[in-house]
Amino acid sequence: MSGCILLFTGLVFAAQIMDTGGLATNLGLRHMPPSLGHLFGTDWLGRDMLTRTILGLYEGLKLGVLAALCSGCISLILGSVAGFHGGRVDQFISGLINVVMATPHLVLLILISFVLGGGTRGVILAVALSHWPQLARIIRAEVKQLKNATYVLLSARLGHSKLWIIRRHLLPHLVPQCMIGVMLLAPHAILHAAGLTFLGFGVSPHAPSIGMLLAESMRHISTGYWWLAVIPGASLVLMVLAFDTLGSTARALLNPKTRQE
Amino acid sequence: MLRVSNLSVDFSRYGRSTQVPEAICSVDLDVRAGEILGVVGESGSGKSLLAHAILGLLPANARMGGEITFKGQTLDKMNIQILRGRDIALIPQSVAYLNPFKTVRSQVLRAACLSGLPHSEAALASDAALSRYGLDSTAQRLYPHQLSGGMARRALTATATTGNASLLVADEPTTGLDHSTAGETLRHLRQLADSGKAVLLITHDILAALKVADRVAVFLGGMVLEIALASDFNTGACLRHPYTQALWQALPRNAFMNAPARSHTGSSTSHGCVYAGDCPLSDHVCRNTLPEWKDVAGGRVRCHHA
Repeated sequence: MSGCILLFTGLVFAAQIMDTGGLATNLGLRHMPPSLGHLFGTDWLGRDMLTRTILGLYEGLKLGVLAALCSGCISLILGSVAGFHGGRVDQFISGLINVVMATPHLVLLILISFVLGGGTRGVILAVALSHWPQLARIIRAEVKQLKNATYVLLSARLGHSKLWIIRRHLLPHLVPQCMIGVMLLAPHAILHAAGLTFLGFGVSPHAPSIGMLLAESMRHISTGYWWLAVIPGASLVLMVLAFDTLGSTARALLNPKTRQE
Repeated sequence: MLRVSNLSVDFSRYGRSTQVPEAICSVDLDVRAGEILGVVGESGSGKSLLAHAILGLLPANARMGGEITFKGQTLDKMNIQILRGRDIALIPQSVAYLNPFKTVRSQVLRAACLSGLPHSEAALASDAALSRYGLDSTAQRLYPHQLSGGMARRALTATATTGNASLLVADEPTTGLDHSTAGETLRHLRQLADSGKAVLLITHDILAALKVADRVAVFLGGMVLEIALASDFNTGACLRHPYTQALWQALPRNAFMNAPARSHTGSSTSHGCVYAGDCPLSDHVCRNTLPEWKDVAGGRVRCHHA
């Protein structure tokens, strides 16, 4: 847990103080394997792969967290409205959830990102708009159950307004749920952002991104320059794993039943 | 202090006013200051519904008829909002009434504040109530899901008794408690009554009711069949209604004979006495006409044969 936090702080810090001189083309240093001078080696234009990887991971992290937050907001609003309101509104939102879940989400991601013209905004919205249903469904079920809990029913009979009940009884229950959902979605979103960019529907080729890095390295992998693809790919996997651990630990901590263990 | 006259409660289903049996049907009773009125009856006979009707906590689809007055004032929606928690307190039946997000102490303290005590006194009153029910400072910091069933129930009782309410509606306050704690709860209710408050003790544990109550109202199928002095249950000879007599027979210290256990819901679908189906004295008058109240020594009874 603390290792994961350290890893992310290190990444963010490194991206801030990074000497971007390593991004400059230097044909004299082409295809250098990992060494003390260039820990992750250099690419076919002599650029330092460590610099590129760290900047790519940092951008991916930002994209993933933003996309997961957007998705969490959509889930919280639609899920609680469906659960609390019930009736036609619930039917409509549940239908929407089913439609989105029934569409293969890679197709949905590519379509949305393409329609929005790609770029950072396109990737964030594509991930957010295709990943809200799972969490929305959980929140809807939670609200439906809470709405019928004795203490909430009693509070309604005592004459408290709907807004009061939502604020005092429902939100304290839903916000931790939503936070965990966002934390578990973020690594998924990071992978999708990298995947979209890899396929050419994501952020622009000029922006640093792991997806772009991997797409470019693919051309060189058969020529023996393994470090171009393997090291950035492995760092992406490591970051996603760390994020996932963070999410799972947060879930265990926020659950009163497992907190003491 | 509290008078319930001709109270009836029924429910509309699916938003339509279809004819459904009344859950409570023409109930009359009164609770005086300084006494405990025990309400006994089988499960599902409408005892808790009576408590909810008094406190204005009926579900939205419930329709209530008749009148409930408190200190001479009719209890309507406006009145009950002001009196609830301040002058009338409820010990609810289910421990699910506790707020899962608040510690025991903060819930009792809030009840004390809502009862109109100033903050400094409220803290003292809630501490006193909590320690009376054996909830020490460790237990006070716990959340409801961390409590045992008995502790949660004691927390509810502490919540209701922390203020200065003059009427206490106790809905099954001793369920799930061990003998000594149940005894302590009942003793406290008796003390409250002796200090001039009125207590409506709803329970299906007739022995518990007899231990502390002054009078006992016997509920069956949403109706009160008899209101008798608790002392009348000592011998059973003074009990008039056949159902009350059957209940008395069912007590362990008496014949321990099973009282007829047929479901007695749906009283209003027939027009007669709710006990007519099982009553040994039943005749066609019992089956077709609702008996009127008859005043008898120490109480009232609703039976054609009394």
